[in-house]
Amino acid sequence: MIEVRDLVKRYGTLLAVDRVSFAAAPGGGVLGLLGPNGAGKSTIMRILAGFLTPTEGTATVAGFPAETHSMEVRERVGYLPESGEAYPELRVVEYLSYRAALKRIPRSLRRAKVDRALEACGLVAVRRRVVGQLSKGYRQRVRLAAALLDDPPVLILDEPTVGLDPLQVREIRGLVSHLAHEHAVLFSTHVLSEAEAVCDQVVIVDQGRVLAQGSPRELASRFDAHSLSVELYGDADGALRALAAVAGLQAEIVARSPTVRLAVHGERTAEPEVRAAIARSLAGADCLVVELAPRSFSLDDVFARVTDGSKAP
Amino acid sequence: MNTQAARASRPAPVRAQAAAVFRREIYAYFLSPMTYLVWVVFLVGAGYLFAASLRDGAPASLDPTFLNLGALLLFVIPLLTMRLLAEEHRLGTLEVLLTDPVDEAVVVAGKYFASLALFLIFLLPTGVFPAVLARVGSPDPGPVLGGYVGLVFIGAFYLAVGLLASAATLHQVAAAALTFTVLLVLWLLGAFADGMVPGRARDAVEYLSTFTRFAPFRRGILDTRALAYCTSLTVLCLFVAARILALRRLR
Repeated sequence: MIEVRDLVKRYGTLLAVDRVSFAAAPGGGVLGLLGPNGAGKSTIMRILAGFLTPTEGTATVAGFPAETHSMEVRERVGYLPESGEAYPELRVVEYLSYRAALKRIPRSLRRAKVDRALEACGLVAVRRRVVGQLSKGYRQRVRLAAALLDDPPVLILDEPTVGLDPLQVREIRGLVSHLAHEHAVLFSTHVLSEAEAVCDQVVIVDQGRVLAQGSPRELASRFDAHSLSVELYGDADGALRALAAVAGLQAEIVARSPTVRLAVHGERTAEPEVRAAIARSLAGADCLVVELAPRSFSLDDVFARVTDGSKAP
Repeated sequence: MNTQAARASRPAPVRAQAAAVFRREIYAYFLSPMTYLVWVVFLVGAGYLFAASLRDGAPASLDPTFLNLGALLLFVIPLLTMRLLAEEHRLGTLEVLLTDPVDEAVVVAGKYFASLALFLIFLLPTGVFPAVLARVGSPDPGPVLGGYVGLVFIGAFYLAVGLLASAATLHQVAAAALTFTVLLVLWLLGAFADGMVPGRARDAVEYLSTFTRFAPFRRGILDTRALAYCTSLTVLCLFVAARILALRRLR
């Protein structure tokens, strides 16, 4: 549904997007764009929504290139820009009717579609309220409801949870996950735990470039494969010496008490033979192993590592 | 994919889209205190200028009043149009508007006709002036009618200039200032040409001047050249405004 290939966007001399490629797998749920502020997420989304034209490359939505078929793309995308509040002077239902007319929904269907969007976003109770008097969380729901109005096959949501309180954030996330059952969703965030919680696929971008992509689990496992956490009773330095005897391992002490904790790195730590060798060697040094497990990385760790890498010369 | 087929076969209800933009602008106008403030100032100014033109022995004519109203519009129109697009840009709602499947020309048309409707409503109370005049004297209906037609056409052109300025600038104050400057220059061209520009060049300058174009209406003449002038420039301004919106995509 969404495909971006070699996308480049320059603003004058500023290179905002630098040969970005990714694609949402069909039926792939929520695709997340993760990156710090200013990474180029919004620019990519604006191009996909038909609001900006790329300098080079293509952005395709539902089979239409956004650059040449802006109108077709706009008909099929429900876009929630980062800014652009609903008009504060209108009532919720008035605003949605207004947007429904702009989205070319025939008059006969407007009422029903507005009602459905109100229901999907939990806005039925505030339908007659004036938008400007609603809380930020509700105003965000109104904008989201507007994006959903025409039942678009593709939803592009640019940082939909920014500025909301934790409860509202959870509600919007839940809504997004729910929407992914029926829509292809592209979702951006600079909050790592959010990408982990909501997205099925994640594209990590920084300074306009893609640093990594995959499912949150995949991305984390790339690092897990090379690292173990070992907990034992015994002498820490003796354990280090014992591990040095096993070929291809580097170990460091994380803690000495109440139990000794070691971090062990090595290419082949995922293989059972290597782990067996570690256990045997430690036992030989009078260390009693109580835990030997792959170290689990969160997306935070992944993100910290890949962005560090990109900044190195 | 059922909904997809339905989507593709849908006719483009351009009128419904323009009507939606129109309605929302009218709403915004009438919910803004600024509108009433400008209206009151306009009516007080117009009423004062009308009263000042009433003297014993003066002809029962609205001619001086129309001239003054024409000048008053230079100040009023920029305040009516400045918000239209510049504010949407500032609030980020332009991005919302331009990512819905709506043509830029439709957006411009909806907003333009909303401002035109408001302008006509602004003029309504000035209908008191000819009524007053008819009680104290017997004004010639031709120039009164002609004056109003001229005022509406000139005003319609001014609104288009204002909308264009609002599309071209990013802040409403800049839009108002730009509109006022352009309108003032167009208005003063005539007076300026009279004394200072020689021969052929004067004809050209006078042709462009809204002051000169407005003159025949006040005498009750429906000058088709002036009507064509206003209409064509109005359309041109609106067309350019729509192009400017479309070009925002190419940034």
